[in-house]
Amino acid sequence: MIDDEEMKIVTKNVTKKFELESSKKKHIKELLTPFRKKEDNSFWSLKGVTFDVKPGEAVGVVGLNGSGKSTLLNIVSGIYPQTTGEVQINGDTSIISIGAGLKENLSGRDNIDFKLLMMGFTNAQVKETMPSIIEFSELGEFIDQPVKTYSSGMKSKLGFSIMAHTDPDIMIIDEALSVGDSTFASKSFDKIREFKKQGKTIFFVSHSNNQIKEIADTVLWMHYGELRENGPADVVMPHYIRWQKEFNALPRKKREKYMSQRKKLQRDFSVQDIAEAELRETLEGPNPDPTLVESRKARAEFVTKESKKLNKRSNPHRLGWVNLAIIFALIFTIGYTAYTTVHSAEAQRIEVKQKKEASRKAKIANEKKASEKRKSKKEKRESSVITSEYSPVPESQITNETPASILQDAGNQEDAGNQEDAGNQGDTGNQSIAGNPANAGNQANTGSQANVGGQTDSGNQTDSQAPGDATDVQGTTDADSNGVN
Amino acid sequence: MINALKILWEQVTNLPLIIRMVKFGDQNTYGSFILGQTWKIVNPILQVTAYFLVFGLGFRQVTMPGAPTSSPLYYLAWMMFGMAIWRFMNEAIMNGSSSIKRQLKIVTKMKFPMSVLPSISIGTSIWTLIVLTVLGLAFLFISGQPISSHWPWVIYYLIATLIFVYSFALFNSTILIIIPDYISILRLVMSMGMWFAGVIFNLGQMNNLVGDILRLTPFYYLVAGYRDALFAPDPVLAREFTSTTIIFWCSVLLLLIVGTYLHRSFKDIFVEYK
Repeated sequence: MIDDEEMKIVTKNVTKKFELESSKKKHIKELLTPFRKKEDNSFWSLKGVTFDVKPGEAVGVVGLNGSGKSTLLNIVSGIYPQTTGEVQINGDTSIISIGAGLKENLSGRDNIDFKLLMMGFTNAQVKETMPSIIEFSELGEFIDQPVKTYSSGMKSKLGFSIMAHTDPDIMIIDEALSVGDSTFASKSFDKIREFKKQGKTIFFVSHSNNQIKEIADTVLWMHYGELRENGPADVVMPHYIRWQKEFNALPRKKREKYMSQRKKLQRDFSVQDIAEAELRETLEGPNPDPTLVESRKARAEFVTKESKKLNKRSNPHRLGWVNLAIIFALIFTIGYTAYTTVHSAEAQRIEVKQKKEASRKAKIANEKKASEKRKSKKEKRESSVITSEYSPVPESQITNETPASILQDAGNQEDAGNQEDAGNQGDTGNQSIAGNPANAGNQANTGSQANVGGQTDSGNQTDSQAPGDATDVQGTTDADSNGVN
Repeated sequence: MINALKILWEQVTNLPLIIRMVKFGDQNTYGSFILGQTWKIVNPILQVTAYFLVFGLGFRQVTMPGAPTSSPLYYLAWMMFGMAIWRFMNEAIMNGSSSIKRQLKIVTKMKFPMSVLPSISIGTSIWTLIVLTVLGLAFLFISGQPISSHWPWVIYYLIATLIFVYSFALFNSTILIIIPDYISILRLVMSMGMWFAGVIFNLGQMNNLVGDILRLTPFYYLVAGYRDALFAPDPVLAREFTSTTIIFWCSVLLLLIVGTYLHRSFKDIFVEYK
């Protein structure tokens, strides 16, 4: 690990790989397969960049479009991580680029508020810094207009003003100063110089060679993912300017060919190259491993091992074995619990239904017994009475009612039953002949159950006289209340 | 697994930031209105008025057998508690899921804990929960009934709701960026969810297979649990408490683990989707 407290920014062999997706669908598919072997569709925006930045230094980053400048800045500011390599940053960073992080629909003032809050300022701090930001931005009355009405110069002014007042240790400016007018630019440079004096680090990208010359101490010349030159501004800048002139002087075809060649190199780059670079470094180091120096085989092994390791690191977010196991366990638990619960509920329902059925039969059986007794008594006394139809349940009293009314009904029904019995006391032949053979078997089977059901609650019993589904709901609510009690 | 817990912990450590952002958002939305912040209270009430009229006064008898009072407010209180938790979940999930997508442009240009964004949306929606709960309590007391004896459980159910909503929103937020069509599925799920979660009809009385299955969903668990804690003890929930609790927390963990995995693996390339 790098451990250099004096430096503000220390980077070592930083690479950044972007996946060039063939299609979104494919990407999603790849993402969801945990042990994927993906085809190499990568583009290396950075191919191993190493540099240090001292405190109080202003670093200008130059290079053609697409040479990895913005990627480098984003990595340094921590917006996204590098693929491999090490980056160490001592201090807070704050990045601005043209109109970055401004909400179009909010007014300038609200944007200041919003950005500062997002950076973790408290409301009191926001109130405190607000006036000086507005003053610095030179926006005047426009500050209360929505940002979507701003020109790009005004946006970058606002962006710079906000950032300059958040007091970061490391200031990162992505082409934001190229847009403002010269008055504002010189004002910004004054501010930047002020920061430099305070020992803060400024890191900026610009396409204006004059701006770089004006404020940069050192210059990083990025060239297609590589750091071509790194040194004091007055050394690197003349080189860069000369190269630019030569390159622009080339005929267009040649220029395009060169560019596409370079791009291809960036695509063909792989982790193995990084590993080889590492090998070279260890061999050149102060005390290299003797086996590595001697045998070629050991060197090759080192490269393959290292590149495997790097490969793993360059695809860091995998759904590992453990997580996968946990996920399956969770799905299984959910499924199992759901199944058992539903199953037991179903079983309970069936049981309740059976109970109901049983108690209904028991009741019929009881009544029959009673009537038989009476009948036999009566038969002793009188022998001939006219028969009438017997209906086991008075239908008007079955339908939906509250439990209280059911209880009442129970009484009523009993009464009704008695009365009916009384009325029908002479019941003879018809009933006993028709009823007995059919119910004889049932009576025997359900006798014991019936007694339990019948004795414990009269509500259930009465209720159970209702035929089937109409009172299903009530039956179970009764059962519930019994269970709770 | 560890990352999932880390992301939850991030919410706790960033709580002051979340609160400030919520306040800022409120000021922003209601700043230009004449009634100003009063809308925070009026808005949720307006949203439930239709349900009030139709179900509160129309279908009352269907869903409340064995009510101790015949006051229509009793049913309204019952409905209000369900509505409170449901509307809160609905709002928080819908806003939280699209929160990252909405702020992507800004967030990718600065150092900001992206996982906090759904929490901010949740925080903004919490007013609905508070207002409707207070309304429900008022109805309950006016109808002359006491608060449920399980009231300390309200803390448990609120925490469960927050974690569930956060996990679900985080899970959705990443998918929404990759697959924009997902929003219509989500909308469908959330609009059907109101009926499936038993906000208006009492699922506790559904004694058949469909009822059994619906009673196992996390949405029902939270709605019924909130009612159990504030309105009246619920024997049906008590009977199925163990299994529903297991299912609820397992689904929360599942959403959280998958959501965190998606979030982390896509965080770096969100920049490309803006």
